[in-house]
Formats: sequence, structure tokens, C-alpha cells
Amino acid sequence: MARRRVSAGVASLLTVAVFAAVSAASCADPQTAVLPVPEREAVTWRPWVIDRVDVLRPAPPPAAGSAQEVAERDAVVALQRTRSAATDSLVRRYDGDPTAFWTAQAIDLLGFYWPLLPDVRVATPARSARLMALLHVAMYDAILATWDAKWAYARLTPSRASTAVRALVTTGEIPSYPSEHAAVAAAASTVLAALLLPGDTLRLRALADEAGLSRVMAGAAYPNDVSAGRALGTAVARRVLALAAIDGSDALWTGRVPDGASFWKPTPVRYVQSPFDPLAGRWRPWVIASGDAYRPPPPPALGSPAFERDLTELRTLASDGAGGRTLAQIDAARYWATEAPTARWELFMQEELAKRRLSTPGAARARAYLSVAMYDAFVACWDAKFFYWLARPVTIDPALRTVFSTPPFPSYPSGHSTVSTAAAQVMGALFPDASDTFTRRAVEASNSRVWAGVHYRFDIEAGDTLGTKVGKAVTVRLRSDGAR
Amino acid sequence: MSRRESAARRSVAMLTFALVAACGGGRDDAPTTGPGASSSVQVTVSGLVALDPQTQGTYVVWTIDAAGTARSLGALTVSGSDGALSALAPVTEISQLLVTVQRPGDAALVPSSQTLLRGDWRSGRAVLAIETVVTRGGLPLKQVPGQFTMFSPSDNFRNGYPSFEECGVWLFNMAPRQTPQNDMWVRLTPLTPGWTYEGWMVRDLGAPDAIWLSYGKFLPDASGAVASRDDTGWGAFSGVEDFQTAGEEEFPGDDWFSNPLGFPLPASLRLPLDLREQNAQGGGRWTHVLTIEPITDKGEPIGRERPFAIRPYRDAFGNQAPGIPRTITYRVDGVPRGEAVRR
Repeated sequence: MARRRVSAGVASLLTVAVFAAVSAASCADPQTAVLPVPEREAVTWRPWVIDRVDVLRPAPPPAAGSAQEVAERDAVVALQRTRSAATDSLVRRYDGDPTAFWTAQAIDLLGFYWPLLPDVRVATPARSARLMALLHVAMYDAILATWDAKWAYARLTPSRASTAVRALVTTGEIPSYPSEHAAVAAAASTVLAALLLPGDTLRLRALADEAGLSRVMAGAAYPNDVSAGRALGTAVARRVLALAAIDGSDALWTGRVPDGASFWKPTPVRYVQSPFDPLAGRWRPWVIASGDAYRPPPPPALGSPAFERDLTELRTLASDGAGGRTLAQIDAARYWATEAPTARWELFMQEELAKRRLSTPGAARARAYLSVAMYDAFVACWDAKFFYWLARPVTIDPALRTVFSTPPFPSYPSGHSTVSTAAAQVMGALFPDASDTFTRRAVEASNSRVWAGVHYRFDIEAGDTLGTKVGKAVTVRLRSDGAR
Repeated sequence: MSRRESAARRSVAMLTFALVAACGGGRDDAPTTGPGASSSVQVTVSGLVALDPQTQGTYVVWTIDAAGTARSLGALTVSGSDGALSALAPVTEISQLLVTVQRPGDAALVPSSQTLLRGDWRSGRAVLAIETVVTRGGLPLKQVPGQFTMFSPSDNFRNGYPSFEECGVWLFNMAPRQTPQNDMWVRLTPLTPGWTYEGWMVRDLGAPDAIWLSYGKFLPDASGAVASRDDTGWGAFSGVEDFQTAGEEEFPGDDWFSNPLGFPLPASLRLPLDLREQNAQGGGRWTHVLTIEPITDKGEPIGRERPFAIRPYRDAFGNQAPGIPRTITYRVDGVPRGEAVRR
């Protein structure tokens, strides 16, 4: 099984269907649906990759009433004449916050590659975080650039400009040129295609084309809006990928594991010889200065009272007697181990955004900050892991029973703790009313690694401290990026 | 003991006696012709598979009295998936009824360790179920255990072997968020000692010449999670590369990719298997089945393994692409159950 390699695309079809069903259920009558929040001020927000939001502003759209616009309108009308249940389904699938669809795609693709580890190393914890950060930064900058052009040209949507065009979705006052759905689709599909395996590319491109077409069919965009959006999104993606090309993630590790009783060794059951991403601590972060900016102090020495205390805790948890793991602890351990921790937090963000009425730029901004914080947390964590190379508990005590196999990389500090604490901080800053919930989840994520027997308690304590520092650094940027 | 306590205990004892008398004490106290007198007991069981008496044994019904003494009522007559028996039994002395599988060579006077069904005899009736004997703590079988997935090795081409993606089956949740447990591990009800789950791919299920290919036996852990490989590991028909490197997995299953050790295979099978194979009518030929087996049922010839009577999970394999999760479905008709009544 470990060498299985199949088209990841098919794995996501079911999710697409579910997504479509959810969208269908929420597809409201344009006359009564909640109007999207325009968020005109987003043009003043600070982008991540492009220098200014107007740097990619496209040429003006055809003038209102011009022959070109009339021709475009006729094209929309002609397309709407082919309307069917299938096209309505398409319209519903892509309506709403465009970043939600592509985030779901990315999470599902990573979920597909997760069980293929360690053989297919697309979805290692650090690489998953990197992919989500690049994706969300690209989508966010594409939306800011789109917003700039929208309000610069203020083109009415086809359905608002002409009664000949039916409005199948609600667009409110948001101008149509360029299409944000096309821009996000182009940015997301380009980034994902570059970072995943070739087998996914065709499907991602087809989805991007579908996203643009759906807006024309919905009467929300002219064909020219879509092509301009697509060009803009592609241009942003190229800038993001240019940065990704020099972030250090393609460097090959040629080092060796240090010798010594306290140093990491391959762990059961598969004894993977090559640990995941030993150089990720040197990858270029987005906010923190470098991977070693907050490097934690050394872990307790092997045999020291602090080390023995935490090892004893793991032995007690693994025992059948008093203090042994509860079923709830085992379930929590499995829950947090099933996908990369970043995926769990991205899903929490999906849930949160689905509950709240944020603008399209606002939602994209929230996603970008969360993903950037988790990526930077991974970089900082991986720096420490491969600086100290601490052996996993099962290496120190081979009799220790773990809930599942220990992941193939050093112990100190815990990645789950670092990432979850940073994520909870950023989400708490974005949604202060739910801050306690995020903190509780982060604490559970941390504890789950001790309950599983794959981390010492001092690993998660160091991870919590490190994650807090990264989270604070990202939150400082969040509070000063021009958004209210 | 104080006088007051003594009086209170006498009151409780009298009340208990009255209640027991009113309720029949959970035993059959209907008029009989005398202590130990026999009446006709009729036993009916559904969901059985016919056993070959020479090689597999027979289903035998037993009564157990309050002292734990077992008495055989005889063998069930099995027709199709139904079994029936009518026999005289001392109904006032019955405490429980059992249906066991008596293997060829088992002693005729004592129940084998393979108790299939059990029920308490109350008011002239016993409901016979596997839950009290096969599942730990009398827990019901899981209604929604999780998923199985078609997968097989792919980079064996580097070793000179072609890559096929339609011949492996693995028991884990490919789409965890679609499962109640929201994690990767299938959940099955823990079994009592003596029983094990076994995974199968079956070609032409229900046909006289159906081929049952086992991918191994496995047990869930105490929490019910299926978190270890099956007992064949990388055996028999597993992928060549993994077979060579003896890599271990945490899930039951096999890459039915090749047969490097040349085990005997049914003549009609050709490797690599295509689990999406269709019959002339366009229907899928392969079915995924999870059975519950006596743990002693080992040593069956590879390629000629036989499933036991408890087959609670059965799903057509379908022709979905590799990696698409397939839901494991509980089938009530695959679980033996029955009742015994006095006539």
C-alpha cells in the first residue's frame, strides 16, 4: 500500500459533490439573499507578495454601451439560454466566497496524500503548511488586486447592466471587472498544480475554467471579466511561485543523524530511515526573521530528573493500570494524528468563516494569516527539531506502547503544539469572541501527542512557548496591515 | 446485626420473594407434569451458512441448566440460510440455550468453544444472538465502521514490474471526515477471546463457484480501532516491492499485485487481479466482505480459505477509481440470530 500512487483527482470528486450539495442548499433567491459585503477599503490593505494592489491593474473594460460590451452581453444571454439543472449546479458550486472552494480542494488533496506518507512526501507536515500558506497568500493578493481594479473601473455586472441577463446569484454592489472568482481560481489552480503531482494538474485547470464559466452563466460576469481575472490571478500566482522557488524547500539534505543515545533514530513500526524535511528549519518564513529566531533552550538531558519525570508519565499512560490512557484520550490522539495539524486548523477556519458574514477580502485575509502563522511555526519548530535531534520516547524506552506509530522526525519540540498554539493565537485575534474555543483546541492538540506516547511533556511545553512567540509575531502584522 | 437491621432484611427478603413469584423469577414456572418433565422446544435460526459435516462440522443446540450442565438437543437442520430443530427438553431446568459449531472430531457430550449464539431462557422463550458470546461485553456490532479503499503499489515499475492500481484493498478511512470517528482508523466491535475478524474479496458472491480470497485476519484494539496489520502481513499476493522490504503497515489489507512465491491460485484467476472486473451483464464481480471467524480457523490452504457463518459487512466493490473511499455496510442478514420457544 505504501507505494500506491493513484490520481489524487478522483479522491476529491466526492468532496466536490458534497460541496456542490452544500452550496445548492445555501443557494438563495437573488432577490432575497444576503448581499455580499463590498469592503471597498480592502484596496488599502497590505498584500503579501505584490508591491501594491494596483501593480497588476488590467486595461479598462469595454465602455458601457460600446459595441464590444453589447457583444459580450449577447454572449452572456446566449449562454444563459443553455441553462439546465447541471449549469445551475455549477453556478451554485462556485458561488459565494471563492477562497472557500479552493481551500477545500487543497485540504482534500493533502488529505489524499497524507496516507501515502512516508513514501510520497507531498503532504509532510511542513510541506502541507507551506502549500497552504502559498495558496492562501496567492488567493489573498489576487483578491486585493482584483478589488483595486473593480473599484477603479466600477463596471456593473451583466445582470445589473441589462434586463436581458438573468441574475442567478447575488452580487450586490461589487463591480464585475475583473472577476474575483476567475482570479482566485487561476491563482489557486496555478499554485496547487505547481506544488502537487502532475496527475492533479488537468483537473485543477478544468475546475478553474469551470469557476470562470459559472460566473458568466450566473450573469455575474462578462467573458472579458473572467479573462481579465484569470490573467490577474495567474500573474499573482507566478509571483508567489517565484518566491517559493527560492524559499529553500528544494534543497536536498545530505547530512547525517548524530550518534548518541539521546539522538533520534528510526522508529517502529516502519523504521523510516530518512526523516521528514530536515532542512525545513532553514526555509524562508513569511513573518518571523528566520527559523532560529525563537529557538527554544535545550531539552532536559537524558536521565535528568525532568526527563525521567516526563518519561514516567508516558509509561503510566501506556500502562493498563491507574493513570492509563482513557478511550477519550486515545480518540483525541487519533483525531489529531489523522491529518496534518494544519489541515485541522484550516477546517476550523472554514467552519468559522461559514458562520460569519465576512467580505471576500476579509475571508481571504483571515485564511492567509492562519496559514502563514502555521507555516512560520513549522519552520521555527523544524529548526529546533533538527538542531537538537532529540530521540523519540519509543527510542529511549522501546517497551513503550504508543497509540500509533511515531512520526519519522525528532521529538523536541512538538510540531502539533507549536502550530496549534500559533494558530489559536491568530484565530483568537481574528475572532476574539471564540478565542477560548481555539485555545481549548490547541491545548487538546498538544496533549494528544503525550496521550499518544509520541512526545514528552517537555516537547509540548516548548512547542506551546514557541508557537506563542510565532503567533504573536504574526498577530503584530495582522494588527497593522491596514484592515480594521 | 441489630434487631432493626434483621427485621429490615426479613422485609426485603419477603418482598423479593413476592416479586420473584409474581414475575416468574425469570424462569419458566408454567405448570408442568412435574419436576424435570420435558416439553417440546423449537429452535429456529436464520443467517446461517451450510457447513460440510465432514470438513466443517455441524451446528448443535445445547441447553444449560442452573448448575452449568450442558445437554445436547441435537444438530440444527440447515436449509439455505435457515436452521431448525425441534426436541424434547426439561424446560423447567433450562437456564440458557447455546448454538455451537461442533467441528469434526469434537466431543459429542460437551459444547465446543465455538459458541455461535446464546440466549437466556425466560418464560418459555430464548432470543439467540451472537452479541452475548462473540462481541466483548455483549456490545452490538458497529453499524457504521468506516471505509475500505482500493489501492495498490505503483512504483514497482522501477523494479521491472508494471503498475496496477485496481487490485489492492485496504481497510482504513480514506476520507476520514466522512466517518463518525473523523479519523483514519476503521472501528469494529472488540471480540471475545476465540474470535477474529477476517477480510475477504469475493468473486461472484452467491454463485456456487464463488471464489473467496482472504486478505488476512485482524483484531481491533480495546477502543475498537483497527490499528494493526492483518496476520498475513505482506503475504501471499502482496506487492512485490513491499514484500521484499517487509515494510509493515498499520492497516489490514493487501496489494494483490503479484504472486512472487507462486502460491496456488484458483485456475480462473489471473494476476494482477482487477477488482473492478465486470460480468457479461455489466455487473461487478467482486464483493468486499468482513467476517467474524473462530480464531482457531487457521492453516487453511491459500486460495481455498472458507469464510465462517458470521458475515456482518458486505459491499459490492464497484468500479470507482483507486483511492475513492468505499463505505463498509452492516448487513443484518449476514449475522446469525434466532429464537427458541416451548411448544
